[in-house]
Amino acid sequence: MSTILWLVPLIPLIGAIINGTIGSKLGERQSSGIAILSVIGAFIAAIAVVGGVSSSPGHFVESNAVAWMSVPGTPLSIPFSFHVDPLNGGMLLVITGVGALIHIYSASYMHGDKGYSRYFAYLNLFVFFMAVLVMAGNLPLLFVGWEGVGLASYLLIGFWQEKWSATQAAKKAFIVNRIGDVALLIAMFMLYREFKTLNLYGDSGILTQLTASSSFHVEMGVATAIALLLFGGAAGKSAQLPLFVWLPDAMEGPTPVSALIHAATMVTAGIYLVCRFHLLFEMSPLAMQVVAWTGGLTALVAACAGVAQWDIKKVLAYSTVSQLGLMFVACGCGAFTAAMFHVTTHAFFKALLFLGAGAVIHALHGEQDMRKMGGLASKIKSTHLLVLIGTIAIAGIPPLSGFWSKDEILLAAFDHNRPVYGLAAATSALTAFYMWRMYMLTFQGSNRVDEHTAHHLHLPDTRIVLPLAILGILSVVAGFMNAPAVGLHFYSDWLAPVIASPEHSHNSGLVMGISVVVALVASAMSVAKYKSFTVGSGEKTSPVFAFFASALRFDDLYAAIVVKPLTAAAAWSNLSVERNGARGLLRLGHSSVDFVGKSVRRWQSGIVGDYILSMAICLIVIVSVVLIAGTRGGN
Amino acid sequence: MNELILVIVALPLIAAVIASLVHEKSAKSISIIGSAIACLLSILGITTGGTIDRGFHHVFNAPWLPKLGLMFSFGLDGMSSLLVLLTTFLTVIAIIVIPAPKNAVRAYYLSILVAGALTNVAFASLNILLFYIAFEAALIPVLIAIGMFGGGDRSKAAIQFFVFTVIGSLLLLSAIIGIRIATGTFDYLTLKDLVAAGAVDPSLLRWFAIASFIAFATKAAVVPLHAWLGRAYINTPTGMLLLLSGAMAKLGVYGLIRFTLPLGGDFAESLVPLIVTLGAVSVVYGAFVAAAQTDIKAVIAFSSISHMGYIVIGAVVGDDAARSGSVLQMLNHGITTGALFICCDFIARYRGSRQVTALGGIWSDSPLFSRLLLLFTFSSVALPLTNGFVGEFLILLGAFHKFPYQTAIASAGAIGSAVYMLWMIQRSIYGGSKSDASKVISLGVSERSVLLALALMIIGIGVAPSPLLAIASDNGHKVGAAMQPEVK
Repeated sequence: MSTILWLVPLIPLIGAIINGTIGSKLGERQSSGIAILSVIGAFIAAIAVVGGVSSSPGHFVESNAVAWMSVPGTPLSIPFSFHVDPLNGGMLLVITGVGALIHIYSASYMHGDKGYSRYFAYLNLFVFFMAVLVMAGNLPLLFVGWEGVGLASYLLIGFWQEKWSATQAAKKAFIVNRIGDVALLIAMFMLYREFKTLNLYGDSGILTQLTASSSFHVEMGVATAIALLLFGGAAGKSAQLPLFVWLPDAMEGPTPVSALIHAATMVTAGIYLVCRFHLLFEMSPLAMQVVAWTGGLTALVAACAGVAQWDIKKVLAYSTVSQLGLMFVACGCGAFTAAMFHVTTHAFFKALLFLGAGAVIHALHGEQDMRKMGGLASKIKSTHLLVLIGTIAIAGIPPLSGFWSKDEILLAAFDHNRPVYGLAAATSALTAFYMWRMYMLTFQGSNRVDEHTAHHLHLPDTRIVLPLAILGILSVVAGFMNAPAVGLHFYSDWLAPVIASPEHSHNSGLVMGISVVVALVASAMSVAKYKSFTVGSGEKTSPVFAFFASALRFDDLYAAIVVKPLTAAAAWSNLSVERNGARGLLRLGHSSVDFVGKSVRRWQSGIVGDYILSMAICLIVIVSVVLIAGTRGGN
Repeated sequence: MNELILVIVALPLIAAVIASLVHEKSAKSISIIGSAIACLLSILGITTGGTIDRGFHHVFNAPWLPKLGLMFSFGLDGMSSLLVLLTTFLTVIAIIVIPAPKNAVRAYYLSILVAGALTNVAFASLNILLFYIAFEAALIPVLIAIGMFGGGDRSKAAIQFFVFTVIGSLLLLSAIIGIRIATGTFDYLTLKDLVAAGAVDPSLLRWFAIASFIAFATKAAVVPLHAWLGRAYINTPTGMLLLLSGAMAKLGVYGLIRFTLPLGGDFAESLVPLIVTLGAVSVVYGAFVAAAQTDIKAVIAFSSISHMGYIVIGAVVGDDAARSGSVLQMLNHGITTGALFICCDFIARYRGSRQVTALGGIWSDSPLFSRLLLLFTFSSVALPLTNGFVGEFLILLGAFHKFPYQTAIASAGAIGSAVYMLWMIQRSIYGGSKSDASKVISLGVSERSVLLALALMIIGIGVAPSPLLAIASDNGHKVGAAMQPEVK
């Protein structure tokens, strides 16, 4: 079993190395073939690992430890070691499974790109780092995956590097993530100080020590500080307020990348981190409040922005931010199972929607503006049907998967944090609204595609439709993994060894009823409004619409209060301090050099002469002082 | 075996002498041969061997001016052997990849070889007067190189550099003389024992701590004593700059670990919070200044202030993991910054400019070069699985429990490095191709091998740093004065 654990990250790494080194010499078939097979290999290994988890009495499997960083004479010894239990086992299946589908899709989508093999090298690299992130047995190794997926994300957002906006977005993503990473790093230092180890599992592991809280005591203030710092890291990776601004820009990358990294997997790493440390979060009511409120506000802000986008990918990007917010609402309300459940169903339907959007964009020769779409339902039938499924799922209409997972979150918020429930319910309404808006603008109404494109639609091939179809099926059925209303609780049972199953709530019927009504009403309103859409009808002139479209102008705010002052500070330190300040400091020095230079004319050959002269003087001084001291001392 | 260090120092010097006598064409190969053998031999220096005395191996003693207390006494421990290896390695690659100026090939190689040899004398010296002389004398070839082959602003750069260093040096000299007066010896191991036994006047130790701190902090470019660095680095020819930034600046940190802390007594301990704070300030300040540059060489130059800030923190904080991380990071910084300066040199040579406004599109012209530059960049940004992460992580982890606030501030420097390095990459290698065919950066076999070797080291140390950490942890702070001398 230990060996199989290693295979999950290493097979994609080998794929990345092959494509990264000799990829340019391979044809498209070989490049994509290697990449796809390596992720399928990882998926098979992941299935075996998860099988091992379910059959093991302790509900986990562990790899052997291979030396990484250790300092002799200190207790510090950090190995490469992996640990899989139900929590990350489930994620591993999603990462490699959805990852494999998106690799297959990409093989067709990226056809003809001159960076074809480089693309697959990066994509494989991402799967490697993502697997390391979730499987890591200690925090520094988790950090390897954490920053590693950030690297892969950077490389893939900026994949079309001739494009200024793409490299700009890539840089922004990495830097904003780095802010969160520093918080995570400091959390790690604090954990090391408190727990004297960085291992997560095992006898002395941090999580084990937290479980046995009777034998270990962390002060409330410290627990809060660590939890908030961990959440700071999570907020960067999972695009929450105030760090969400990088994710909408990340849409500059190829669409399959958005589906895999910026919707289904990487951005959920923050939720994984919080769930992994749920015992610590539960120790601090303040931290739980912060998580819930941040999630709720992010969900609402992003949903507002989603309503006002014209770019089909931007709608989905803000939708992702918003859904991630809901997952944090669940965490903040103590419903960690619900959070992880939504991570899973969201991975299916959001990947489906992104890939569907990609198929539309592909069909329309790269057009992303929904004002230039419309009426595509009859043109690209399979894509239409599958995006429709995704829309129903995310809108929260039963019995599709999004309904079940979102319902769990809303119920937890209703029971534990009523104001945040308000935010989440409003978000749900807006979600249904903007998703149907997207669907209607794209597939229904009048056909606004320009003539030439309309006659030369790129119809999707099997490699595009097949992944969509599989994700479509999953989006329909995945909800039944955890539908307590109909007596199904497979998923919470599966997670039970790591996260205690939620107790039954009396408000379940009420909350579910409200949710269904809200989803249906919002959907109906949206369909009615966008049934007969024509370009230029109202919306874009309204200042509120513009304000929403810019995501409440957070970018402008940061430009004014962060970027500008820091740029000015940098310029000031460069000009005033470095150029002029040093000069002032040196005036004294200059004059002394001048003095020496003037007094000894024949050494005027330049600074080297000065130097040798002063060396000589120094030596004379030493010799005389030492000799005098020596004679006086009598030796 | 005890003469090992003598051979390591002498080989480049002999090569330098021969190279300056033969025809210009063979000067390069002779310099490479001499320094390469020295580099291979310094690998031997890592392993324990020869006479062992109080934690040092390959101990060698011979009189120079015994009346003055000046001895050729050398010895290596883990830290100094790694730094000697770094210096010899940087000397070789500097000579291989950076072409000499056409008009003065021999003088150029001479200056590099002499600078490297003198730096090694300082790293290996167990006589503090000998250390001082080498520490100072190593600057002469640097100043000559700046003056003869430096950039446009060379005279100003050289004078600033000279003035700053000489002030620190004179202070250091006075402190060393003070110690000699008080104890009658320049022998490091004896002094260490005396200080540990409390046999030295504390007021003299206090002076030694202050004066040596100023000298070493100047060398390590700790803010605010860094003011010489910008102009000096930008105007130093790249080959010499590899040594200056990669090896000689480390003499400052080395001095803090080797001399200031053990010989400065309690007062040196009380300086630690100040030094750590200045280190954290350097990390952040260096990042700010680097972010304001438009010349890629200046970006890397100022980033050094930031990186050295981490190294200084780890050196003084008094934690074994942090100190070992700091010693390893000296090596890492030499490798990574060296690689980046080499890349800047290539870009300047082929593109005719180092200004980001004139660059862009290098990726599409020179994919291998750009990929390597990207790797070096992420090493500088301390991405995990590169060498930079190991060093910085251990430093910060070890420092945090004693100085949480300073460490947190220094950690935030990780954001700064991402800002300026990724900005530089975006402006210089991304974007559409701007050049004609003649400006494509083409790497020769030897250049490609050197860059690939550096890349492998970066990943290798990032993935398996433990063997080097084991050596780095032998830095004179655990095998204390208590150990009895033994002869092998």
